[in-house]
Amino acid sequence: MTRIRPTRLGVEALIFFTLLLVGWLATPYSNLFFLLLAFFACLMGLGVLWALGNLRGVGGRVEDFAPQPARQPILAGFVLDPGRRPKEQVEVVLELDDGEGTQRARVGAVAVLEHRTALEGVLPPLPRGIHRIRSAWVRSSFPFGGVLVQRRIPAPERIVVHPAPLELRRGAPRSLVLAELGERLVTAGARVQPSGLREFRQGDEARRVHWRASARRGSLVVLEWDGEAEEALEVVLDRRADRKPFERALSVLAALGLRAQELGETLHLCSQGVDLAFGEGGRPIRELLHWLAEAEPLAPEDPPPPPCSPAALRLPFTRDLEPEARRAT
Amino acid sequence: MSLLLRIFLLDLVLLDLVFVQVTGQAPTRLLLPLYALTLASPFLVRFQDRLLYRAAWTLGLFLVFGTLVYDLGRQGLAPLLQDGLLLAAWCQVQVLNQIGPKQRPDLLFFNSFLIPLVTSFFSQDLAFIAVFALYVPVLLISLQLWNLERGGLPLAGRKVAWAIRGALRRSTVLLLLTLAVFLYWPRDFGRRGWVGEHFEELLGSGAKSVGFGDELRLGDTDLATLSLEVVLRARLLEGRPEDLPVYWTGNTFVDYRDHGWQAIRRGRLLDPLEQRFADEQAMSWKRLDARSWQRGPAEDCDGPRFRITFATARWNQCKLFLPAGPCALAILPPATPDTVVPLPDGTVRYTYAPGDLQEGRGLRYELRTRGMAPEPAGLQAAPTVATGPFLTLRRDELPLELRRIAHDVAGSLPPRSDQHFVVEALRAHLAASYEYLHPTQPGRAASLADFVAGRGGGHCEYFATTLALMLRELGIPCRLSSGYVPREWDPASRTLTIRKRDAHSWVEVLDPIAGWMIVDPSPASEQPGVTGDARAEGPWQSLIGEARRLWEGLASFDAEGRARAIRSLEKLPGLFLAALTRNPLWLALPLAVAVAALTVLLHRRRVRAAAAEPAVARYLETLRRLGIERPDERTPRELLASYREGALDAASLGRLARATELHERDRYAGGRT
Repeated sequence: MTRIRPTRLGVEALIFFTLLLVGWLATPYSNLFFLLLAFFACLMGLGVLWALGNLRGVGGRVEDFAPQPARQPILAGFVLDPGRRPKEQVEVVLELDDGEGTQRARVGAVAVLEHRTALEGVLPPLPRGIHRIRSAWVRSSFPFGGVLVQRRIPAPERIVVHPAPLELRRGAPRSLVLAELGERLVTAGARVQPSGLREFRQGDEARRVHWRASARRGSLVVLEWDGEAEEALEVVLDRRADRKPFERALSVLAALGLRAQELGETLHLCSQGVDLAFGEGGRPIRELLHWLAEAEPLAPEDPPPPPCSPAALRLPFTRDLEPEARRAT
Repeated sequence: MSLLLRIFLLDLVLLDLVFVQVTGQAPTRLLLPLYALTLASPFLVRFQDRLLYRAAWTLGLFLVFGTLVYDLGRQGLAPLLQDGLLLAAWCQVQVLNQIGPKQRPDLLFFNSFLIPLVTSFFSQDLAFIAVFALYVPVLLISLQLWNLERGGLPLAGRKVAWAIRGALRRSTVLLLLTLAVFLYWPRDFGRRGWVGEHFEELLGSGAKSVGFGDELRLGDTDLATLSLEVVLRARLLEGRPEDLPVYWTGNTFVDYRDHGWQAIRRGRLLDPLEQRFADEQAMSWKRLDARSWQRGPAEDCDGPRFRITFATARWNQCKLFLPAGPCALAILPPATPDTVVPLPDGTVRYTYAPGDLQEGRGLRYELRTRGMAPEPAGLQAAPTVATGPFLTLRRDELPLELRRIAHDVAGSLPPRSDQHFVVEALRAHLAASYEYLHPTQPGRAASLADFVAGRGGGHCEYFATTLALMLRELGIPCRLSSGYVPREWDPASRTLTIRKRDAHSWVEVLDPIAGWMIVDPSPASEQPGVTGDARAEGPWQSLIGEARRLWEGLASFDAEGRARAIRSLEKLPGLFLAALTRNPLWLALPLAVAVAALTVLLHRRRVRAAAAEPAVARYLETLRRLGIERPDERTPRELLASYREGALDAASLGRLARATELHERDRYAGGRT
């Protein structure tokens, strides 16, 4: 499907031509006036024809989107094929729902398209959610900018935008990550249980040492947190929460899911409507991110999450603070 | 804004200033600062954000606009277009110097087109079309570059040459299409428009053009333009081109008063002596039948026969143009005979009735003139008293210098010299002593007295008036005539074309034996002659002459020209087939051109494909070394994305990523940067 419309410059040109025509009709016939009038008319007419011809035979598609984090620029890949002749000034535009309405976003552009080309562009940040892509267009206002010609190209149906993951230390062992996570959650008033004490191991950070217990035992011991010892990290998400803590919990889950993907670990999520393992040996992390993109909080009277291991990490955090946890920190 | 775009916009504005300059309407002293400000714009742009800079430009605009308003109040509409041109030029330079994030160049583009449009009313020289031919590609390139920059895609490297070549191709196509529309689009060439007769007032004195009129007034120093508008075409039906009349008279002037001459308008000469002379000389017209008249003896009307057509229908009163001497005149249908009124001085006036107007075409008449004998047979002069009106002189209106010079020149000749010696001496003196300046040139004398005193040059009217008055001072009867001296003869169609710019004035001296003798006092180098004959010219002059001829044909295009163009187009296939039938080898030429064009196209495609091959070869080699199969339909980037999910170790993944990047750069970005 091809669309054509005048640009602002094109509208100005039409108005200008109309004024010229009025002047032409008002004054006695003059060969040079007619010549210049004909020139301007031919310029406009040929401008339209050249613009249409520039996109004739253009093909392309927008590549599938991997799940993208919210509130960050989105990398978009697209492929353009000029057809038999090189094309000039070609750009790709997506029409998508951004949660508040329909948005037109320019993905990328190329000045001269000589061969089949794969390019990358950037879309503006989108909020968390599944954003439907209404259409994708290749367009050009070549050569003079008086008209804009657009041709539709195939595009994926949606962009999955998952919560922006909390920043975690890359490459750190799970214990440290959980410890860090635990500290952050405790600092924010989370309800996190230390599961016990164990001997200090090579790689443990000095700040994790429980000095009082170490003094009592005569050897270094560290606090162990819920879920640290398990092979699969279990997380329980109770969706009966307010929006803000709920979103924060989703960010934590996104961070843990991406980390599990990176390190080849497994993450078991228990929540209302889901009780699945993701990652190594389970469903793809992509599905977790998809679920996170769509998840919405529930009312307090809704059923609780399914029962899970008591050692699971529980989200979202609340303001209750266990005395042991307080002492441990 | 990129430097490249700024340079092209600068060129556009420079060309606009040249357009204004070729009209001669704006003094060079006012245009020079505009040229300087235009050339300095790449430097001045750094001050764009400063308040003082913007205020200075605005102040300049107000000054120019104020000048326009002041001139309007003082001189009326006369200087409107001249001052308007200067204002438009200033606006162009101002926009150029203020283009930036807050000022788009859209206004500059539109203004740049408006300036040549307005200047076309003032100048129809070859210079106009030469500047326009430069203007078109610069405009197209500027539009393209601006469009690219607006989309965030400035050009660099070889893409610039690509864009410029493309713009030049498009310019050619555009100009050819414009020419085709101009030649073949149907239109009313005689349309007066809603403004009608007031248009010339609106244009002001600067757009006056040289032409024929019923009055001759000296002292107008305003610049006029040379109009290429065709007045009439005279097709030679019988006779030799060598016998073509040079001088075609429209009016004769007898009485010089109030610094000017006035032509006869009514059917009877005001001066009874002049009327008597005309009767005695039988120079009045004799009606032969409903549509025909004759002037002079019938046996003398045996020379060339013409069919004359006025180029456009003008419904106000006008004159026919006739060669000197006896002639027979026949008015052709559909004009009614009542529209034609032969006058006693030998001229003819006509007036259209509205029903007589032909679309785009004026009155047609046939003329048979006297053959050009080496010694033209004249009429016996009447006694001196009948020449009285041709000796009329108001000495109080004559500059003393004129009278003194006349007597000095006559006194330098041997006593009792024949009249024609005196006439020739005066003519030679004028031609040698006074500067000829065309109405399009500045520096002309403000009055006859200034001209005679050498305080300024003058055109043919000054020379003719001065000679006529000098001759009368010396008692030699004469009159002043005005009309046209054509310069264009087309041997193919045997047509003499008379244009407005061919208007001329000369003196006719009454010789006691030969009758009226034409004496042209304008200097010989400025005297027009019939062109179209083969003359010895250098190749450059021939080229310019040919270009000028083509341009003049375009600028004076009319209904007949359009009809000829259509007939030529219709004949083209037939001519082509006929040529092929006569000589089938001629088919080889267009075939050869087609084959050559196809070969060039295919070669370019191969070159383009070949340029991509080394980049592809390197990439494929990398894949082979990494043990990756050659991708089928996936692009290199798609292939890389598919391996990012863990099928390759980090080092191999890095090599693949690098190879992909290099491939894209080599293939699509014109090489490594």
